[in-house]
Amino acid sequence: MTTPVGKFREKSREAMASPLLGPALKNATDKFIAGRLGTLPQLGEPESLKQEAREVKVRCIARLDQLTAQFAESYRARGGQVHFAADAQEARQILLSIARENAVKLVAKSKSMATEEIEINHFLEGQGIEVVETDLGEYIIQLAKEKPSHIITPAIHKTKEQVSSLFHEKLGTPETPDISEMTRTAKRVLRNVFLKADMGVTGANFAVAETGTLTLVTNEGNGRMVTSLPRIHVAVVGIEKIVEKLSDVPPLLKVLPASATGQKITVYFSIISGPRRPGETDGPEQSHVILLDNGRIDMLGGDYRESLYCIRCGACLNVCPVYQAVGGHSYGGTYPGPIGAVVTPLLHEEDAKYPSALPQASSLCGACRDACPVKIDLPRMLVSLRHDGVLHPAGGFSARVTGMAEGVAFRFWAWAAKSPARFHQAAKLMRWLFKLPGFKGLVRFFPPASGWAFARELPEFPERFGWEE
Amino acid sequence: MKIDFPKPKTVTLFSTCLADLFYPQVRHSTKSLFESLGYSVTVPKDQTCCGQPAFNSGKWDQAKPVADAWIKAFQGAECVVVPSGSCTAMIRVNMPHLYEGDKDKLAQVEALAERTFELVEFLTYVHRDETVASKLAGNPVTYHYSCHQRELGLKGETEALLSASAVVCHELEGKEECCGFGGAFSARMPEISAAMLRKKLANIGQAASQGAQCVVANDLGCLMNMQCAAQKAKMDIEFKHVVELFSSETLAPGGEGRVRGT
Repeated sequence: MTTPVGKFREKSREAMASPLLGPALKNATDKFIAGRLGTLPQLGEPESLKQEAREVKVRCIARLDQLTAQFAESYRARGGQVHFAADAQEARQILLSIARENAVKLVAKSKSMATEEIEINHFLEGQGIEVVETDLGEYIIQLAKEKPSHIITPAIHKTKEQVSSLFHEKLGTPETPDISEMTRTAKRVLRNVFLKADMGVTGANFAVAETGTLTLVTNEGNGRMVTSLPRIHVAVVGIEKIVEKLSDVPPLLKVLPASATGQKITVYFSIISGPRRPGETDGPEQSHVILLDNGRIDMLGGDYRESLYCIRCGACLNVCPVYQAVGGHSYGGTYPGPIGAVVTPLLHEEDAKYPSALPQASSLCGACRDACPVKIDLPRMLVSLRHDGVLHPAGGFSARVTGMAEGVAFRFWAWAAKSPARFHQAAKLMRWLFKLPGFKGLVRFFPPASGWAFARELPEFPERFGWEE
Repeated sequence: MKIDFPKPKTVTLFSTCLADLFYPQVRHSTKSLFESLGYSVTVPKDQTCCGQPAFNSGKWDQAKPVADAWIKAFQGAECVVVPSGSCTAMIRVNMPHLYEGDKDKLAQVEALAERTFELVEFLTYVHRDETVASKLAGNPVTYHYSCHQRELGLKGETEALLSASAVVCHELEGKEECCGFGGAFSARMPEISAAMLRKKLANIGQAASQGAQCVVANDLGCLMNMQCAAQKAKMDIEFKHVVELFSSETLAPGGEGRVRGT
């Protein structure tokens, strides 16, 4: 099978065949779901918290053009340098030229989905610049030469035994079942990186237009090291992270850790206000922000604007039965789960493997919509994406996605269902066919019945249809 | 949740295509139930389907003529009752999208959508007579929360109805997790759908070991999915729409061909 859906299914089958993935995902997602449900009510009435957070995003995204300009101006006023990147390639080139101008040899990174989206690690390494991820999960993933499989916990798919073997292989440490021991190992390695790095690269959780402030939510403290110790700090920020004013941050910060990991509050919350000023004892000499479009501006106008409200908490992944079954790598892009299935086909992500298949990777159960702290209607957008695929078959979306047999079945169904008389005749014909010896056995080999019959018997027609009273 | 809809005299039944094609007893039970509750019940002869299968698959061009036909069949109704959460959600939430460019038609669809109710939703918020629970009867059950109730803002209504009745209901672990149906999803993503089904059937097996003899839900899509899978897995348990639990003393007989797992 070579269609995008075929590739997605193939990758999912491989993932589901792994005996370790299912239990690892279940452990983590169960814990996160319970955490979110337990914590949010302690912070307030969950529906009002979500509504308040959503209203901030609705207002800010509606004026994103003005706020982007305002943010750039305020950030510059703090002594920072602002760069605009239309796509991943531009963002990488900007990053490289900053590094080159400053003779950077070692980059320390803190966790950032935007930098995953533009794939800077391999690129900079290809240019002779060493890059080290300093978030523990990201560090594990980097050592394993993999991609994150979850927005919040990148190494969610790995068991502690696998991490122990990985450390043993790459760092020469003895195998251990003790997680604290492994954490100490990572700390030892990473401490040197913090001290030696010339450049720190981060994302930002919220960028405040009025004050030119970047804010960073972390649990390990690495974000603070990366933004204060190296000579240069570069933040790669998707433009949808911009909010109007500082008071917009608390409603979002309230729901983010609770929805992500079930924490009432994040361990570290950094407010970054430009480079070191005269008289200050620490902080970088230069601060840069790269504001990334990469498809976001196109999402502002139409049916998919809501996806820009996302604060990347990962709650929709945790509750998604498809994500729970296949894990993040099966989605073949940077963002997995329901939000990934929506944004991957819309972002200009070079490395996404089969973006057009992803809107099909949902039973539309709506658990994601309920879990989302900014109430994004993900199922609605998944259906719209399926529809837009139908509208633009030249884009390779629908024709390949749904397949010809299904297309024929749907046309037949619509032709019949718009006229009751035809519908009843067609039903009788089907019932008659199904009674023919061997027909039922035969039809189950052809799509769409073959897909159904994979795990099920075909349903039986009754002696009398509902209308045949 | 609050629905401010005056109790109607007449109820128009949208039996749904799945009931008409595979589970006619659900159509008959719904009709008998509402007649026994004192409503004058109409079941339009020219109804087929709401268009949901095509809409959710993104094939809106094919969903629209079917929706047109649905609107034509039901436009005169005082209110419409549907033994399905997903068809109700199609009508109330999605159908208006198909008429976004057509102001007059949109207003008509929205008005019709506002007087269309899922069966238990109607019993709970429009009919509002708690004695209705006393009419439920049968063997111990377990309850699966079908996903489309989320879209309607329904949460514990059916369970409340069951717990107010004499029917014993054993808790289904992960009752709010999708059974893996998702319309065309079940055929487009068979392996993932099967993984979701396996989880659901394992939980059903556990409820059965505690004494549940029947899985109850509000949607025939979920029930057909689980029943056909249970049949393939050779599990011995019944599957019924909640309306089928209303006992034969209060309802006219009409229960041949129950949804069975074996």
